[in-house]
Amino acid sequence: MSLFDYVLRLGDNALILGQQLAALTGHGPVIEEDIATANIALDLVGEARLWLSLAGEIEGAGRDEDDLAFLRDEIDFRNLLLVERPNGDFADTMARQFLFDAWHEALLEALSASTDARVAAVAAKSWKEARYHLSHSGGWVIRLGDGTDYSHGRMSGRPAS
Amino acid sequence: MKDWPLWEVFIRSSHGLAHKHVGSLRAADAEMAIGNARDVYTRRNEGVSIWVVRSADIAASSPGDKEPLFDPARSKVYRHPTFFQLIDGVKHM
Repeated sequence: MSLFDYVLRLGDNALILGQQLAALTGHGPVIEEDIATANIALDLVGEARLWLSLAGEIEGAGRDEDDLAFLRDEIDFRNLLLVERPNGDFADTMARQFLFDAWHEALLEALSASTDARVAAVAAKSWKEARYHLSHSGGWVIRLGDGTDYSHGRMSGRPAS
Repeated sequence: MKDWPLWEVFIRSSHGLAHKHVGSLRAADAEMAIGNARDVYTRRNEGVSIWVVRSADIAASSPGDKEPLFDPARSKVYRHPTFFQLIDGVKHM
């Protein structure tokens, strides 16, 4: 895989998940959680901008972040399928977020030591945000797991009823 | 979630020495209250430290006690140290 493809993947993950979370704005279970979700969405869109700008720079074909974000067909996106999963209810959203955050946080920490200074810079900046995202979604997974039989079941993979 | 207790939030800014009350929010526990306070009250770089305390744990003076509590101090101007002669060379007092 080329560096361009790899950086594009990172940007697409953040862009799609950021958009998914942004769609929840105004629908949070309580206003505090609503603001938290919007903050995380903004963090991810901000991260996507950095990766997509860098991807355009690496490609060297004159495409900028907007070209890459808005002028590609859906088949050309390289995000993980996880981030495309529907928002569903709060349990679905949090389970998806936790799985993504746990991976994303570890990945960004490792990429902060990249030999490519540009990759390392974007990763280091985003890692700080990802650490908070993981503590937020991880807190919810634990809380729901410790909650009612229903919330425990949902965190264990049982479907909504 | 409507059963979540109310928490009072105090933020220390990077310029201030003391935590200042900034508002309140609902959260299930202290950890969530700090997370929520971070998201609600420090989005624009307002703080370097957060305190949260359950609103129910704050004892407050009653508005009805205003007169006995505070009026007696009104007539005691001598409690303000404005009658001292400052020696020359003392500035910023």
